[in-house]
Amino acid sequence: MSSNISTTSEKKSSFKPKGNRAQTICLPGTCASLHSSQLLVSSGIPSLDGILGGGIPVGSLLLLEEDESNVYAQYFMKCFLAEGVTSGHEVMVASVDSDPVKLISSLPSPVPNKEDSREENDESESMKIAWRYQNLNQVTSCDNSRSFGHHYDLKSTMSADLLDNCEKFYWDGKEKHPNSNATALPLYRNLFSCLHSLLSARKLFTSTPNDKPNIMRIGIFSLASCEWGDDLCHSLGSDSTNPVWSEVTSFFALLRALARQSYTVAFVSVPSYLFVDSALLGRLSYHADYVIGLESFQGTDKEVNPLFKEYHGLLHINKISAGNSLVAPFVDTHDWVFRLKRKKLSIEKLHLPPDLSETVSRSATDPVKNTVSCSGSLPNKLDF
Amino acid sequence: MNDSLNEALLSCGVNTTSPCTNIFVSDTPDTCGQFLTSELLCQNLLAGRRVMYVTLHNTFALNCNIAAKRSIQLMNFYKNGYIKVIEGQKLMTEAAAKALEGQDVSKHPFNFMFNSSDGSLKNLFLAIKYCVNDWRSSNESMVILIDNLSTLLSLGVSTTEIRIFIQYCYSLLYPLNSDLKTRLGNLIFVSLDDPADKEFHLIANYLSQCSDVTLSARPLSTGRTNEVDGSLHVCSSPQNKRQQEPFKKMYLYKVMERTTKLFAPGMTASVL
Repeated sequence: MSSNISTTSEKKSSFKPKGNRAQTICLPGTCASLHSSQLLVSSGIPSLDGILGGGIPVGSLLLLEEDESNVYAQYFMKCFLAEGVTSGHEVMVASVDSDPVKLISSLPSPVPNKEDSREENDESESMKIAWRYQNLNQVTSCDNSRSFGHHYDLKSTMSADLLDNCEKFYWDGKEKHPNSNATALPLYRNLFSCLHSLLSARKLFTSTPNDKPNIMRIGIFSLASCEWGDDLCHSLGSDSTNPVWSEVTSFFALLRALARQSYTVAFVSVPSYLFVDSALLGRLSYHADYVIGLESFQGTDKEVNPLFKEYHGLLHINKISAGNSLVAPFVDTHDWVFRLKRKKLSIEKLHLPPDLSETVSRSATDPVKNTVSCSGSLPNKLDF
Repeated sequence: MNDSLNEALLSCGVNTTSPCTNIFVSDTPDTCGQFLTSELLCQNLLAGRRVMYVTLHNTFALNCNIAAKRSIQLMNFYKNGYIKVIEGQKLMTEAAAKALEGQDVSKHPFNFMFNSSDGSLKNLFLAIKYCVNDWRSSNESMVILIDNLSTLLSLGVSTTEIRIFIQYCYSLLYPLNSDLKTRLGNLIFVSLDDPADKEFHLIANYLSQCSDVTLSARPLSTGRTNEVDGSLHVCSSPQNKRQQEPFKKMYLYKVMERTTKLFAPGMTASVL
């Protein structure tokens, strides 16, 4: 009966104006975007924040295409979650492939700002720049000056005190839903139900009055991997009467809808290299606000290529949402690389190393083919 | 309002506020056709027409923010009853949550998420019909804008169901209790066209075939630049007996916060 009443009222219009919304919400670990007037949170990688327009807006969904070894994607995800713990946000971790409790306990520890700046100073002191170039912008740097995030030391784990001060929630797909009447719900529906009830219980929906709302960071590891039970071998259109992948695409559409209505930021990684039909990735990307792809150099020819000597992989920025406006932040290049430094994961513009040969043009020969040693060490023309 | 876009469309013989012009807005995963949707929404409201807005991918609040930057207050139109909204994002969350709690959602507009039988979009159609019936009975000029049909495909609705739903929506353009043969309004559908996705492509082809005007926002095929966001292809069907072939024209566009600039290829500031 109640459902009938609500349906009738919805037929008039399902949009409810919020009335006087001149109130300013101040949430921990956020800053307001001048571009789109939205609250931003840090991704945990300050250089990535700079590329995405200052951070990730609250209520948005970021899709990360995993690298094949799933090493660096885990680093990205851990930095995102660790930033939540450091900022005092609530953290929800969902994973079927690995234990979410272990993932939380292995979050990296934040690097103190002083130490971070010292490291930067060390690096800058170690390299002498000709005086006439000193005032120019460095090609490799992203705009970190306005970032409010932290760097993380990926070799040390976060202290127990920090973790204890944070509200943490886990989902591993093994818990039975109380309303499922003994029949196990598909994993996607189970996770959606869990997220919805959690957001309701924590009063994190924007429509729910809450004096002190907080941000919830949702991290979902390896969505649509083999463990989730999707039939990823089928291509679209093979059977028009039985739509394939509807469970995962429906879940993704619902996750976007949930994020839009609540104080949440969702970070989802998918093993896109497993998808037989690229249309599936296209559909997931359609619902995501940001789509980032990782391509690791591990085990590839690029690992020994001197062009990529200092880096660990390529980062593809596939989609940046305009957020609250029509104009998305402008990204001046598509060539981004990431590398693990001593105490931070950073993203930089890819640029060619200086060519110190006497000829003006670069040699067209591939230096990789000329290498003899297995270690990939090349004759270095730089002596310093 | 957006004079550049409006003039360009009029030069192609496209009157976006005419009740005889059904429009299909097509975009790709690499382009965002939101500027066209907002433009069409605002133009029809400013022309004094009633708008039934079914938003499945974005929220109405987003359109309010975009229009506010162009000095148009959609909330005023909403309060005065000129626009009715079906918020797909809220309704799909509500339907899914209720269904998973074991409640009855058989009469919910989004019950199709859990019911893949024939006529699964019936409730959504009835919700639209309920909203526009007042306007149909008083012969008000109106437009039904559905943004974006691709979301229905993601939610598991088959292409056949969507095609039937589109045909049913056409029936809402005629007066309720009258013998009038004239149409009260027009339909605007927004959908993705991705050649890599067979279902998206099928629906896009179907909409192109049954619409009077197709506006396609496409990315630049040769790369990207700060001065151009993409190309806008306008394709309108023959409007008189003398015109045998559809009219086609292509512009380059640059979206800005307050306006959209359209120009012919080779006429960007950097080239000139």
